[in-house]
Amino acid sequence: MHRPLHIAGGLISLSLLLLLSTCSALYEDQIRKFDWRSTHVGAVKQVHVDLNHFQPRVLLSTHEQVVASLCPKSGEIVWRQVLEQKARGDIKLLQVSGFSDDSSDTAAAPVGSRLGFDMLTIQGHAPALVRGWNTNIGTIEWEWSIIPLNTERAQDALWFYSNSVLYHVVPVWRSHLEVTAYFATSGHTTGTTSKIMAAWIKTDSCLLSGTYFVCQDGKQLISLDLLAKSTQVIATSLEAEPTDKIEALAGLNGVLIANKKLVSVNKDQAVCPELSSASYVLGSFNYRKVVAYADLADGNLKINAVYLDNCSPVPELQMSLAFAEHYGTPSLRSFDCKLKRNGDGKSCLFLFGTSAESIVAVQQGRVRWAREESLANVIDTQFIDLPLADTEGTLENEMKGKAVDANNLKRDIVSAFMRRITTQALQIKSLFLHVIGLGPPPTDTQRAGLVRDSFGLHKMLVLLTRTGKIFGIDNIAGKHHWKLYLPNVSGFENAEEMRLIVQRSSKHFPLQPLCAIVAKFPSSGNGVLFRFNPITGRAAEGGLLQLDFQIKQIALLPETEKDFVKGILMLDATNKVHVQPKHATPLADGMYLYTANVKTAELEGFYVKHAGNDLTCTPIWNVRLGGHNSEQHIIGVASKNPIEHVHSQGRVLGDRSVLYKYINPNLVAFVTQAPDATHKSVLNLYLIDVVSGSVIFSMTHRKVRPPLHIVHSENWLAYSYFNDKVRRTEITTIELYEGNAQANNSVWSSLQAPSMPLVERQSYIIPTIVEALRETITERGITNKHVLIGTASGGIVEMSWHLLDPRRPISSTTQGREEGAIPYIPELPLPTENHINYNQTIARLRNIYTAPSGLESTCLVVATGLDLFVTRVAPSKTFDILKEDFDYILISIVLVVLTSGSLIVRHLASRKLLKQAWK
Amino acid sequence: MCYKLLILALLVGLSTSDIVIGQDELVDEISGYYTIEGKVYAPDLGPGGASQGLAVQLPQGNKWQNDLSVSINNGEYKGFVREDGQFIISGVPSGSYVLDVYHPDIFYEPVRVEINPKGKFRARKVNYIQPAQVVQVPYPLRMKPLMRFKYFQTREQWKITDFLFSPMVLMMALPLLLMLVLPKMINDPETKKEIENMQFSKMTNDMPEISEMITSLLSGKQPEPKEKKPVAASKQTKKRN
Repeated sequence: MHRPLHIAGGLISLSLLLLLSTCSALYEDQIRKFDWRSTHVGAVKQVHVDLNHFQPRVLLSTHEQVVASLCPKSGEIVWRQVLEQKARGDIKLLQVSGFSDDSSDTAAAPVGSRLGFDMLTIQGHAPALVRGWNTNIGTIEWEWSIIPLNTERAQDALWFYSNSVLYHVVPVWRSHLEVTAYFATSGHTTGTTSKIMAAWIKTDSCLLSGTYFVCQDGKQLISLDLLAKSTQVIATSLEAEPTDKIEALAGLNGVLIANKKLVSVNKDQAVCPELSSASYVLGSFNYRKVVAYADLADGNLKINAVYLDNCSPVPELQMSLAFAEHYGTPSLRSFDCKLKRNGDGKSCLFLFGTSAESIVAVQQGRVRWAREESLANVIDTQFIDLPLADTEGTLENEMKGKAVDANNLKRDIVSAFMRRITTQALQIKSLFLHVIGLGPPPTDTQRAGLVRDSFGLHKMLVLLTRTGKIFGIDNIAGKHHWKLYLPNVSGFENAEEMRLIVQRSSKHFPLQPLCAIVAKFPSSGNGVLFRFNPITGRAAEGGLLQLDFQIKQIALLPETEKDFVKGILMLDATNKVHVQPKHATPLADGMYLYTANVKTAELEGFYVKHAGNDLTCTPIWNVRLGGHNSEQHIIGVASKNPIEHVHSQGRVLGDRSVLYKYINPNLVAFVTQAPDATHKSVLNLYLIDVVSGSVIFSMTHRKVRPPLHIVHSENWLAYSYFNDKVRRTEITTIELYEGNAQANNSVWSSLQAPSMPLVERQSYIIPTIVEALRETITERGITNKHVLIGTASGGIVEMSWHLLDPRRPISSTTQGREEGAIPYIPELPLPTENHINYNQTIARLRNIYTAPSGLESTCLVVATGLDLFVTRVAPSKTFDILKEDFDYILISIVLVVLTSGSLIVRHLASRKLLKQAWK
Repeated sequence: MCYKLLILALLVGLSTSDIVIGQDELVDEISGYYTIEGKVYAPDLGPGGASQGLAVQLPQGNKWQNDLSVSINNGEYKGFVREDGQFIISGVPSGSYVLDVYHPDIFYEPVRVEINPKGKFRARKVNYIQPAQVVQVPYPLRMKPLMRFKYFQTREQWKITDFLFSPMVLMMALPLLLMLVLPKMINDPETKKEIENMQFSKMTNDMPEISEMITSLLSGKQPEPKEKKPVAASKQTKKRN
């Protein structure tokens, strides 16, 4: 009935797909066999622990704009709702009924009535969305929204809840406050907006504490009770000017935390002013109000509590426990106690949010569970080969000995044979010792099962997160082997994130692998290097190194001959270059660097020269992509994966001639965007050789806007964008060819580059929103390259390059058919069988990373977002190992039957011949 | 433990919920923000859902409302479904949007919702190839589960017929059949004898003996090429064995 063309197209492409059958889907029994997913909620914003509910629960809202309920026993997610992104999803208030201060306890109305609610959230400012949730199953119950008249002012709006009424407080700085009241569950206003004159309110110094609006001014706190009949301004003086921002103590009306001490601006509310702690929380114990506080001292977490009415300590709540360093600084967020099952005393659950974005639950003097929520913001990943087992290590040593000391070795067969015999004897000896239990004790990594497997599929996955926490995770089991927290690091300017770099791989046996993190020190803006061993997670080579310059660009140098470390070449803000470690400096000679300024769309190229003992860096080219009015901004930069190998140099055409690929390792794609008067938005793509600075190719898309994602590999490029004219997401693919002859087939030089390449291009419609693009990569590049497309639904689709190929012929010509190209169909198929993560969707998918495994056929994949998904793909199927369901029994039966059959038949035949002869 | 309670809570919730979602026209129509309304129909919940293949069925007790998300522009605007499947997306300015209903296991067809500046709604099928073609669907939206995603290949089951028709078995069985059946089909004794003589003599001649092969292999010598011997000679060797 509808779009018959499309269906026909779909059928053709489907049949072609079946013919090609390039993608291999999973079998149902392979679920969780190669893959695992961990789900996250993000760094905690507001949390409520409730152990006395009929269903004990931990309700929380997070900075990732998620509301969730956790199981208090294990920390598992019971339900999770991922709210809108950006400003619209920003959670301003999470209100759980029965958790407000005593004056508003009436909110706990019976379930299902229109007056009561389980939990409500307020998000965003224009519109502000108020949603009521069923906390048991996590579904929404009701929703209403308001559009403030002045959206700009509403950005700073605050909300508070009292007696089933929500109050919307809009501060107009240095003038007045506008307070509007709404019935929480219906959104009806209770009256008109009241204006409260308050000329003393200033940006960034005010907050709400219960019904009190409080501003800090020097050593004074100026406050106002918004619900009081008289608008009396109360001034409270502090002992000293607060060093940090003042905070409100949730649950108490008009109580603040300033200078680690409790201050009350509400004369009806007494506090215990002599306490001093980094974090306070209000709760109840033995039906009395209790203020609990927690501090970290010498790696020990001390929890204390006092009764609010008389400030006497609560001995039952006191505890001290060892607190691991990698969690960072904890701050107490919520606690609750309940009677133990056997009736003796109470057990309390304390919930902490930490500076490393962990959620830690402490119960009975120990950490009950911890959630690593920094994994919701992974910014870089690396797969590291595991170390060799001891026996293999000696073998490796022998090989290397040959390679390095080739000149010293007598290269006759006898000595080599003797060496081999002795090493094998040693291996047998160590095996024997191991069996009888006298061998050397296994190392830590071996005990943890971290030994390389024969196919190189088992690796250490190192993840760097935005908070500066680093994880070493087993890529097969998903176990966290080690965690490290760097408290004072941040990303760079230009929205560049921190980098995780492998300086030495695991190949150089007695030497341990080495990774480095390149980051910025937030207070000074200077660069920071942190070197560590990615297998053990311990700092190496001195660990943290503060640099005395700002990092603008980094590049990796080749391995040094001495210790096989790849040096890091860094360009600082004054265009000087530095190398770390220092002894790798000579290797920087002849390096080229480029920088791209995102705002001005200006590119610059540099040449590094090593003369004497100094490195000099000369600018050699610059390109301005800013356009006439410098309104173009760079929105995407894509270079090729430096470890990529291109196996096939060309493409065989229908007439048996070869079209050679234009494989320029220095080619980088830049995409700029600018608003346009006639076309709304214009996107420009430039392919630039970053050594010579020459623009190889450029293309313009009109009426096209981000989100933009690029993938750049071999001689091709694919990028996705939103086409505003026809309102759909499209993917454009480009392939570059040198032509029928290759200029220089041994060495590539950008300076003597062949003339402009032939460009093939094509656009396709993709019936979904693209979230991430990445190409698969394998050890030698023999396997087909597939493109992994992350979609908005959280799925990852493996798409064969045959489908994205720009050489897909529009009309079915014989040449195209001979070349094996599929006829062009505008819409790309997204068959569900090609979803490599089946129903394990990844919420807010952000990036996909790929790495080669030891097997040529297999590529390791990690997808990051709010969730983390690790798997492996085999683009050309696993051609180098036997299929998993290979029928060993059948083949042995057939072999046995065939041999025995032939023997029996032979015997029978000879007997028959004998009989015949006797006839 | 947590989940058991949850199911209980679900049952309790089902029996008591009759609150209206998006109660009043709170959104000021003058402000230019509108509310999209609709209902997502539930997949069948029942036992053995997973094994039913393409049927839109989920196992009993599945919280489909929780795994489901209604979103526009990859979560720029979002709606959440109530237990009965109703949803609203509030605070949407006028424009044309593709509304997606994502569920990890069930496919719902996306719908294009168009809100004109006067606040009139129109819903139509999404057609990326011919955007001008309009096929209207009713508004408020009714999102029906179309099918269950089929993510997995089905593994080949071991069947006797598959085994019998596999090339290896055919290769083995057919010659055997020919060898045993063909001679019996020929009735004429003369030809039969002729054929037998021909076949067996050749076969015994061509087939090297295993013991011979092994000895030749071990001694490293090529087995001496057998000359074409008369049938009688071959018989004699056999006799000696």
